[in-house]
Amino acid sequence: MSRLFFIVLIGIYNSLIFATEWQVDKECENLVKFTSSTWALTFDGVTDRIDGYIYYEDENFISSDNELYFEVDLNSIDTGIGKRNRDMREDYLETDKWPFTHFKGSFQKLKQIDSTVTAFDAVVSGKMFIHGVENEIEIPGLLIVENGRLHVKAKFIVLLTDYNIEIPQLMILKLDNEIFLTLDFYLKKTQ
Amino acid sequence: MRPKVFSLLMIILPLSLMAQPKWKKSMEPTEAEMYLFQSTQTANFQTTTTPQKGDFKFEISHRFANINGGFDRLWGVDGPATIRLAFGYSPFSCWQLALGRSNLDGNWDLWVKWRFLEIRNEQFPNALAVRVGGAWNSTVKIEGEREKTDSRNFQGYAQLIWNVQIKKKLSLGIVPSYLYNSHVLCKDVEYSFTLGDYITYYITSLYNIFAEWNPTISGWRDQVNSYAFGVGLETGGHSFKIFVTNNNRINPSQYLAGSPNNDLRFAFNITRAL
Repeated sequence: MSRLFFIVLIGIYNSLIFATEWQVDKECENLVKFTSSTWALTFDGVTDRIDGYIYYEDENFISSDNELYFEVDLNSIDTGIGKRNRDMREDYLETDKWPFTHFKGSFQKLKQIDSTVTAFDAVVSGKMFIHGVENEIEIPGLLIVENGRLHVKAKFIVLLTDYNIEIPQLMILKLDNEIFLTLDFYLKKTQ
Repeated sequence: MRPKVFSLLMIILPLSLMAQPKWKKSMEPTEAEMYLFQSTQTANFQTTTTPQKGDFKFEISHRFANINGGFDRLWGVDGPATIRLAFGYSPFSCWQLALGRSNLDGNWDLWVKWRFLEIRNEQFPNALAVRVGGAWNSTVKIEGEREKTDSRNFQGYAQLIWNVQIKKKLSLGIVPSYLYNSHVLCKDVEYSFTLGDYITYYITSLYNIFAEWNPTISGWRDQVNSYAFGVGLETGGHSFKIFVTNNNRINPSQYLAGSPNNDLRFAFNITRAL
């Protein structure tokens, strides 16, 4: 019994000691951007209001036992025109019901691409929640460890129809169903 | 045995709980600015809506000649027209400044608007704003009696703007207004107190119809109260209003004094976010 106790205790302490967590550093210049277009017009919506974490139970950089979660404040997205922001919030994203979008998942692939700058090609998979709808997606990205921070870059596409969002129309111009998302933000290791 | 199991649990449970992400949700949703009207202005009044902080706006407005000109005068569109050009800017959230000029009496107009109260009610959200402005009628000169910079060529006004929205479709406004030196050519300095009212029905977020009226409650008024009705188109960057009005005066210090006649005329306002 005392041996079992000892083994369990050591195992737990190991997992505790080597658990690592990175949280979004809100002091940095974070960027979440969507790009939407018609045949005649392209516009962006941007915000820096992203929060979340990457967590893994190992001392090695992002072990197989990992979890990540990020959320974005949709009310803060600015397209540069007040009425367009308002229409986006009220008529399409319905932020009074769902003020945040979030992604929860884990790393599926992580490959070091440059030993000198500690950069990694990554693929994460998980559930993306937008407008009350949750879908499984895979997101390719880049992780760079720089100045003690983890710099995350990712570009991917979501379809409005996948999230039950009506495709907006500007006069006679209908926006594309595809929305390009760009993420560029920083995390810092928690103490 | 029991003390050992208990000790084991006492150690395992807290540690197990600790092996979780420490991150806690701390971000509250940003409180979006309240917009009861899609546009910052109706045909002749301001709404409580202000541009986004840091945004510039350009306005061009026309009041054409009398519709009675018929086909030969293209129902007044051949002119002459009263024209207003203006630039607006929002230095802070809920604030708007504007500098404009009308070709009627060379009326330069400078004003500031501040939305100071928002009541976020689910059924009837409403808001209050004030606008204070001054005007200089820069081309009014009376030989041997008045220079262009004479104090009688300056006017001032203050307005309280109350807006309410009903089920996101119908927006109403009441605008008590005080105008100092109602008409620069009156013998004495006069004042006017009016109670402007307007209503806009949003057919879609793009199209709306509207009407407004500006009855004079006390003080000086020209021959008739002013009114206007028409359609609006809100595209996001642009706001278009095409309407019919009985007043060719376009700048606030001129419009608030009423209209010299009841002749109807076509008119439009276009504002563009820069």
